[in-house]
Amino acid sequence: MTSFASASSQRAVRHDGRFAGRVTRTPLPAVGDVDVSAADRAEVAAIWRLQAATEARVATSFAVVRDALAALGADAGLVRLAERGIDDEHRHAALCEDVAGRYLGRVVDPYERLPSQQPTHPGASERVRRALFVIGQCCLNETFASAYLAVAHQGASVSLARAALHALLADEIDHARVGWGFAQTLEGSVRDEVQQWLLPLTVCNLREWRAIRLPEDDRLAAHGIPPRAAAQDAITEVLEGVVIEGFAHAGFDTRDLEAWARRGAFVG
Amino acid sequence: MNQNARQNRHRLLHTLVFASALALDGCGSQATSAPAVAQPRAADETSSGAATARRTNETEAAVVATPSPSPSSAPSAPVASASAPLVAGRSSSSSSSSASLGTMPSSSSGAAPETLIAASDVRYCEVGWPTTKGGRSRPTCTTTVLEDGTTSESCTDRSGPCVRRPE
Repeated sequence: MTSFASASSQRAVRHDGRFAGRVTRTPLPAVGDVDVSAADRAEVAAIWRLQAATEARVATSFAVVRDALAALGADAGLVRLAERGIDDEHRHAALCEDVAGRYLGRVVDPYERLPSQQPTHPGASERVRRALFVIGQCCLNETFASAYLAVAHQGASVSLARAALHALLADEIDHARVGWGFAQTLEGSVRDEVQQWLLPLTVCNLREWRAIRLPEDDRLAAHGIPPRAAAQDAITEVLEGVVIEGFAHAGFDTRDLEAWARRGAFVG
Repeated sequence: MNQNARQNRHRLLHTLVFASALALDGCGSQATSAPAVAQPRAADETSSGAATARRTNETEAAVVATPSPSPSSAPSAPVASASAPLVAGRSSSSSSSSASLGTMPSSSSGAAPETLIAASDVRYCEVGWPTTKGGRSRPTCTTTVLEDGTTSESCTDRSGPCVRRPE
């Protein structure tokens, strides 16, 4: 089936990327004969198209991560995965546009480019700042994204949505592993400084996820858009059961994180 | 606790964290300059990207649950054994956090985030990395020039105000 993504989004996918220029490993299924009102169909398409924009913005984030890993002399496998992550996010943008277009029955207009956003970690040394870029984007952002995708997949019943979410999640696994693999390689003064930043880093990144806008009910869940409460519950579960556990597994002291989580993980 | 949430948490912990060694290059190249980060011991994986992709493919299925499987029949991820720290000689400063929250004493290292956010600690008030999911616009920020000539930026978003001041 022809892609319904915009031409510009399709062109952004590299021919030497993960699937040799294809957006997904296997073609996405058709949207099929789904029982959805015209208004909900339009809303679903709009949300998937907006997601294309957010995915594309993360390509910039991964360029920062790749550069940080390279500057730190990090493991070549991590640098390679981060490099591939840039194209992965462009593929994700095209994938989300394709899903939106299939719901609309036409090729969509290119997503609106969002302004860039990047933490600066004031007061951190240059090497630590780079390490925090990796941990923030990969250990935190990509892990929370995985939690979101997992719960979205569980609630989706439309084959197209399930296939798209599965494809997104498969890549997020590698993206998160870049961070968790990196975290376990940290030593010495860099590790000690990163330790001091774990709590504010987690607070600031969790705050972004607490602010995502989702429907209050489950009327769009079948189409891969979970209700807000389910998504936030999944993120909370992952904060406690994966993020904090992951930092502990990497050898960090997580008592401050645990105490903060016990008090409800206040983010402001 | 929601059964699906527990299963997802378990799967993600194993697939993302415990299997993260799969992301490392098996050759484990050494940094040419004074390393800010130490290279891990070589794992048992090859360095080929295709091999990495295969390992990813093998484990990704474990993360996406089939409809309502019972815990006993949940698929186990064929991951490499990566539960031990990769860096030799480093002892964990905390116990493995498989214990539930509430059993670890609170550290006395500093004020709580609630206090620091209220005090506009810049580390707690900066933006995080943009999310990839859901829809959210950037916060609305207003810059005010104070009497002493410095500027103060105040930003608001769904999670509330967090006044940021220049260092």
